[in-house]
This record gives sequence, structure tokens and C-alpha cells, in this order.
Amino acid sequence: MMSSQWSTKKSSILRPVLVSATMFVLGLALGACAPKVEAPAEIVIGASIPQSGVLAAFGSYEEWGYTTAVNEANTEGGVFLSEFDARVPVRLILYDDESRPEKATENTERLVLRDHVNALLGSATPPLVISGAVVADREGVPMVTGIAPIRAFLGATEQWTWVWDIFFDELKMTEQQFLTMDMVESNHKVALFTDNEQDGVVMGGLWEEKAPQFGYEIAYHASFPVGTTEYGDLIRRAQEAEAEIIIAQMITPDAIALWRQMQALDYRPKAAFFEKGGEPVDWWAAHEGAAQGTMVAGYWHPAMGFPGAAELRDRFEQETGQTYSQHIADTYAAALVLLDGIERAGSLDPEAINAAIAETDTTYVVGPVKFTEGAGAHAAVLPISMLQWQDGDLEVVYPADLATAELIYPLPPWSEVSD
Amino acid sequence: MTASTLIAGAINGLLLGGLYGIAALGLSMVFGVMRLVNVAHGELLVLAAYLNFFISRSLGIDPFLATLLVAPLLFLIGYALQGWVFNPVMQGGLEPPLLTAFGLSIIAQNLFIAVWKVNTRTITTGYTESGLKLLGVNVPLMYAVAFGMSLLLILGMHLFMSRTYAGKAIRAATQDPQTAQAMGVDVKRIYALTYAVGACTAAMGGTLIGMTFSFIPASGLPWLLKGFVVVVLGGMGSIGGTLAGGLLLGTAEGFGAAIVGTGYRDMIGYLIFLAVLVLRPRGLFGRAGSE
Repeated sequence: MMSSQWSTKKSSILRPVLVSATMFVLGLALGACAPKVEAPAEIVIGASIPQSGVLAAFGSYEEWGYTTAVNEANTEGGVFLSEFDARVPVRLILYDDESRPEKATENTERLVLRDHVNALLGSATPPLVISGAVVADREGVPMVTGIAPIRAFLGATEQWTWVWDIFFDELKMTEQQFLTMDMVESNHKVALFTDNEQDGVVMGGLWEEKAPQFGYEIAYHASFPVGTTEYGDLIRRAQEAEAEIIIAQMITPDAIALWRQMQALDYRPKAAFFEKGGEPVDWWAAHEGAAQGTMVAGYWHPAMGFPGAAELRDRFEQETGQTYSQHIADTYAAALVLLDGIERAGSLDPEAINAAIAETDTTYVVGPVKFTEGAGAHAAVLPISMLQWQDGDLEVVYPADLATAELIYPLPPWSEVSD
Repeated sequence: MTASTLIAGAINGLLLGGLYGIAALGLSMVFGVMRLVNVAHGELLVLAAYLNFFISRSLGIDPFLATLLVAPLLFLIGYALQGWVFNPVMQGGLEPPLLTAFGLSIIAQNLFIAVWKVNTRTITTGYTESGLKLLGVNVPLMYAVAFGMSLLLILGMHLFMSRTYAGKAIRAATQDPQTAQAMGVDVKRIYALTYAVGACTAAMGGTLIGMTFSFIPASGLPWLLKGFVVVVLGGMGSIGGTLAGGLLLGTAEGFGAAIVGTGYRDMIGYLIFLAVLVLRPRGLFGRAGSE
């Protein structure tokens, strides 16, 4: 009885074990014979950028930066995905957002829902970047962006999950500006000209807040819509407030109109900072001598010594015949961060890519990139310096250890710089 | 806010209003004669600015001199556009030409980007950034120049319309196209001529915009919107009214900006625009039935 019971028990135990073992062995054998999971034909990356409209100058640099990074990857056969043990070519889809936030939203939705992109790159300036970023976050598609100052970017939502920003910190920029102002003898009265875009609002608030700490007085603060062309009234008020230093945060066409009218109305500050608008080479081309000595905060200069910086500038200038802009570096780096993230993830799984981007800790052409700022650490802060237009080139004038030229101050009289 | 701020704002605005008038003149003419809302007018202004920029630079001549070359080019372009593009679609009512103009506007913007890239441009000379004192107020010289040009241009247009056969034919085609046709006026040719003359005025408008402010391929839209306000204010199709509308808009904007701030400048213009549309749809200087 006992034996019979045992034998029954033994056979009832052995049977499933034998079946499992057989299936395991068969499974291994079949697995060895089965073809590998086929690698995808391509990795699709999309970006909505301003190729027309008032921010089109940014878009042209972005297009070059993104395309160059993707072309480089494709030259090597694409991005290596360990899941498939294969290099997969990258296809970049670019749509024009016409410098309109609503178009950036529409384009990003199209990239995600119709083109089924695996990842996204950002547009330029906070209104456009954030419009696309909100879609990426909602749809769960990893996005890396630049050209969005981090406080404006981080302040747009409580918590980014899928979007990563690489740019400068407005607070550090503000501090640098006041420290640079200290090198200029003035009455410490500052006039602000800020447009009503997110970065204009954020920066305007920071300058107001920080000025007293650095011993400066915001004697006048002009705020106006993007696209304003007539600044006569604002200039007169700044003159009446006896401001000897001006700081402007506005797009290039508006900034050019403001500076021309300051010249016509004979308002000559001792130092002038034109954030955003004073950075593209268009600024110098529009004013030539009259732009001499104007300043703009910079997060990149070929002379800053980061790997590949000078070569990137040379490549851009040789390929396009244009003078470089710092935005070629940020966008090129943003694309590399994304491609490296995909390679580290080893697959096209969005969660894996997102996690890999979060782990970024590499020095790129713009400097060290490590996401540490904001809730969930979704922003990487780039080192900032103060640049000054000198004879058609942007030179680093602050901090001293990075300086490529001496600061020109005070600004020479209009009569000496007019062409 | 001081009295001097108000006076400065008003003088500044009045002078700038001259530029508004010139920029809107072609729009007003085309609407007055053909009832065509030419939403591509802003692109004509931008085209003129680009042509002047490159012609004056490459030939090393003053932008006003370059306008003598740009204006005939714009005339030919305008004549061809009306003759080949708009005339064939004008029989179908107001919508087909409006949509055609809209399409042209988009095509033109993309062409500007393709040909001249997206960079911000300005037309600069030794005097474009100069200023002068008027009644103790510093004003940009270019505003005063634009004001003077607007007076000259309006006078020239008045003489053209009243003293020349072409001008009289345009007026006849405006008032009663069928009768004008019956009397031997080639109305389609007159329409083409009107569009061409309107484009010619845009040559001066675009040049002044380029010399006074800056421009990019997308600059046409804000100037088109400003033009609409001027045309509605002055009365659609009225040449003198267009100048008056421009001056009124400029002064109201300048005065208003001095009181409530430059941030509300455009809003002031559009409030006046809405008020005129509601209270006097024919415009302040328009004839009855022109609305």
C-alpha cells in the first residue's frame, strides 16, 4: 500500500518535472534555432522648429545642429541598439512651427501620432519649446531640448517627466550681468526693456529682484508685446529716469528697431545688454559699428575649450558660409544627448530611453551635461559668460578666466560708431 | 506722465502715421476699385524692402534712388499678378480672389525664405539713425521723412487720378464697371493697372519700413493688419482718407501710448478700428455705399 502510494506519488511528481524539463530543453533548442528579433528599419526622431516667422533665425541654427548630429550618427551606420545587436539608421523629421506656439503643438502631435517618432528634439525659446514639450510629456515620448532658459522651462509645469532641457540658468545670467556692470563706471541706474514672452517675464522679474542686492536700481521697466516697432515713448521715459545702463530681453527684429530708435533719439547708455535679440549675427549686420560694445549673455563660445567646439564653429561656417551662432552648439549637443541616450537604452522602448537620458553625465561641445535642476532633475545648466560685440565678433569679456578680449566701456558716443 | 511726454507721443505718432498711410495706400486702392481684399499686400511691402535692400547695397546707391528701380519692378509684378492671377478668378465673386491673395501671401513668404533666408534685415544709410528736433521734441529723422513722403505720394496719386486718362479710367471703372466697359474702357486692363499702381506705392512703403524698422520674411502680416485699420478708418478706396486714417491712427497710438503705455499701443488702434466699424462703417472719410 505504502509502496503503491509512493509509486503513485512519485510518478505524479515526476511527470510534471519531466514535462517541464523537456519543454525547457526544447525551448532552448528552438530558441537557438529561431531567428533573432529583427532590428527596426530606422529610428525616427522628430522636431518642430521655427523655419519661418520671427524666430526663424533660431530655426536655421537648430536645423543645422540637429541635422549635423544625425548625419554623423548615420555616417557610422546609425545608433547601436544592443537589443537587436545592430546599428539602426536615424531619420530626422523637421516641421516648421512658423514661430507660433499653437503650430508647435500641432506639429508635435503630428510627429507623435502620425509619424510615430521614437523621440523628439525641441524648438526654440520658451513659448515654442514648452508648447511641444507639453505634448511630449502627455504622450510619453522622450524629448531633449535646448534654447529654453531653465527657469522658464521648469516654471511651466510642476513636474516634467519626459522632457529634458539643456540651457543656462537665468539667475546665474542675471548675476553675471550685474557683475559685468560693476566693471563699468555708471550711476547704477538701469532701464529694463522686456517683451511679454515667458523668458521676458521671468528675466524681468529676476532683474528687478536682484538689482538691489548688487547695488543697482531699476529706474525704469518697459514691458511690451512681441512685435512692437515703435519705442519712442519708452526710450524717452528711460532717458527721463536717467538710466545709464539698459538691459533688453526681446527678439532680434524688435531689438534692432529699439536700438535704431535709441540712436535716432540720441539716448546713449554706458552699457547695453540685449538678451536673445543681440545674439544672432543679424544684430551686427543690421547695425555694424553701432552694435560695437553691446553685450549678450552667452553659454557657448568656441574659445571656451570644450571638446570639438572650435571644429564645430569651423564646420558650420564652411558649410553655410555664415557666421556661427552659439545655438549651433546647444542644438547639436541636445541631439547628441538624445542619440547617446537611445544607444545606452539599447532599445526603442520609451521608458528605457527616458531613463538613459536621465543618467547623462558627459562633457559635450557645450560643456558638462548632467540633469540636476528642478523637480525630478530635468534641466542641465550650462556655464554662462558675458559676450560683447567687438568689430563683428562676439568676444567673451566676463568672467576673467574665460575672457577672450577686454571689455569695451563705456560705449563710445553714437557719433563715433555710426556708419 | 508729463505734458512733454504727451506732446512727444503725439508728434511722434503723427509723423509715423505718414508711414502707416503709405503702407496702406495700395491696399486701399485695390479694395476701392476692385473690392479685392488684397491680403498679399503685406508681402508686396516686404518684397519692396528686400529688393531695395539688395539693389541699394549692390549698386552702392541711396535707398530712395533705388526706389526708382524697385517701383517699376513692383509695377510689372503687380500688373502681371492682376492680369494673370486675379482677373481670371474675379468673375466668381469675392471669395476666389480673396483666397487667391491668401495663397499668394503664403507662397511669397516661402519664396522670401528660400531666396533671402530668414535673417533680420534693415536698410541703413548715414541718415537712417539720425534724429531731429521738432517743437522741442526729439524724433527719428525717418519718421519725418516718411511723413513728407506720404504727403508727396498722396498729392501725386491725386494728380494721377484726376489729371490722367488712366486715372479717370480707374475712377470710371470704380464707379460703374459695366458702363465704363460699354464706353470702351478695358476694365480688366484698368484692374491690372490699379493693382500695379498699388504695388508701386508699396515700393515706397516697403523701402520706408526697411529704412525705419527691420524686416524678415514674415513682416508682411503686422503691416497688413495696420493697413486694414488705416483703410477702415480713412474710408475704403479714399486716397486722401488713407493718409488721414494713417495720421489719425499714428497720433492716437502715440498719444495713447504716452498715457497708458506702449504695451497697449496696438490695442488702442484696434479699439478705434472696432469703434469706426460699428459707428461709421464707411470710414471717417468714405462715401456712402463704400462699406
